[in-house]
Amino acid sequence: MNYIDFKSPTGLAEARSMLKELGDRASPVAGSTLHVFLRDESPKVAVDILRLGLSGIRLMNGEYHIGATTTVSDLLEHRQPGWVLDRVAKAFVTQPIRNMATIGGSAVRVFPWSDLPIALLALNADLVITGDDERVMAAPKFFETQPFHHLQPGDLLTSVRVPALGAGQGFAYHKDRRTSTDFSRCTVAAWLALEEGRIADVRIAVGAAVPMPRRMEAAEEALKGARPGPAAFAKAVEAGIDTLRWKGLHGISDEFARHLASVLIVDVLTQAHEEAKGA
Amino acid sequence: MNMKSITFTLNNEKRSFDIEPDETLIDLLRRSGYTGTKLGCDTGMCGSCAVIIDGRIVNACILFAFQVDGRTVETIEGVGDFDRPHPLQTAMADAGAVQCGFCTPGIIMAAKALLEQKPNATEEDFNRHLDGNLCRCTGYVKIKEALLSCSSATGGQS
Repeated sequence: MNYIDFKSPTGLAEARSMLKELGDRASPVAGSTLHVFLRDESPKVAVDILRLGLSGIRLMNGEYHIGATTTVSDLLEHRQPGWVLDRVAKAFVTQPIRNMATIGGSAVRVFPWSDLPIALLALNADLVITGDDERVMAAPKFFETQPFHHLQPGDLLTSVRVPALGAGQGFAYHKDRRTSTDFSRCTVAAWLALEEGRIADVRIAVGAAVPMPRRMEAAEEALKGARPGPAAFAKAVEAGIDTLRWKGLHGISDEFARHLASVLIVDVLTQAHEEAKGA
Repeated sequence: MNMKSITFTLNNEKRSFDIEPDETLIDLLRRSGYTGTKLGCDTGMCGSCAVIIDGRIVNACILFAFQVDGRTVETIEGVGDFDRPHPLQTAMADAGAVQCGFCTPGIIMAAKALLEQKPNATEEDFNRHLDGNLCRCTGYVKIKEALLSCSSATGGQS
């Protein structure tokens, strides 16, 4: 990045005012782990948003409110009933990066190797943007395009709201990579709710092997009301797999990416089901 | 370029530096004489540049210098020296855990941050906490032996 100046606001209103005034010349900086991947060499003014008091995790009315500058290490270390993002944070590259990267930065700009967007889609998270007004966007809408396009000058993603996992519900996440710190070839997550032994609701999300993280809605619809089990999961995935466009990364073909995803989705559905059963 | 002043605590001493807006922390450290911190991959993946900021290990190659304004930074120079080595440094030398030595400062810093947080760190803790520190010489066995010998969980044994 070509930073020609920097600013270190200490409050949200001050930061928003700076960002609004600077417009396209502003570059909000939090964990600073992504700038090495950005190719923008136009002159920018860095606005440090780590001092705005936007870090922390609070449980309110069955929903975790996670400040946008909460680090991935904080997500990993947090322990509370129904908290599941530690399972995702565990797969997030390395300790120094986990200490620097924030949930907000990971959500606002999506890369093929991104972890959190896939989990946030499966968990039906809401993303809160503070501008002149506060806007709440559901994850599918937020990740429809590169999320930073939703932000007008002066807007900031300020928090992420994730429902706590309840009784009869399960969640599983898997990132396929060759080594523990490698980029993902396919990332999948599943959330599932049981009622009287049947699937009352289910969400399946995939990333890395598709151009942008997406829910697999056709498979979800096929599973609603069904009795859960490997055969039902495999049949539903087969019904939904071609509703998405598969893209092979890191030496694998598009066809193998499709196959890999179908296997991994059945795996995470099975794990989510086990958890929902209370196993 | 628009030079600006920042102040932070560096190895227990309050210091002020004039920095360029796009200067990384490692560039600031090395041009200021703190050359124990090494620049390896320059993309945050190898851990040679690891330093401790406010008690947590981070990669100085991708962190902008302006981000440490007002914070506490610890580099290998603050850990120990030839005459008064830190127990981790002694352990690394005794175990033969150093070959070319380029990754060693980052490994010491990562291990120090972990042991300050968890003095009884286990092998699993070291594996997870040092997953961002690459060594291309030793194969990690001797490094692990050395670091584990400094954990109270092993009582000085690895």
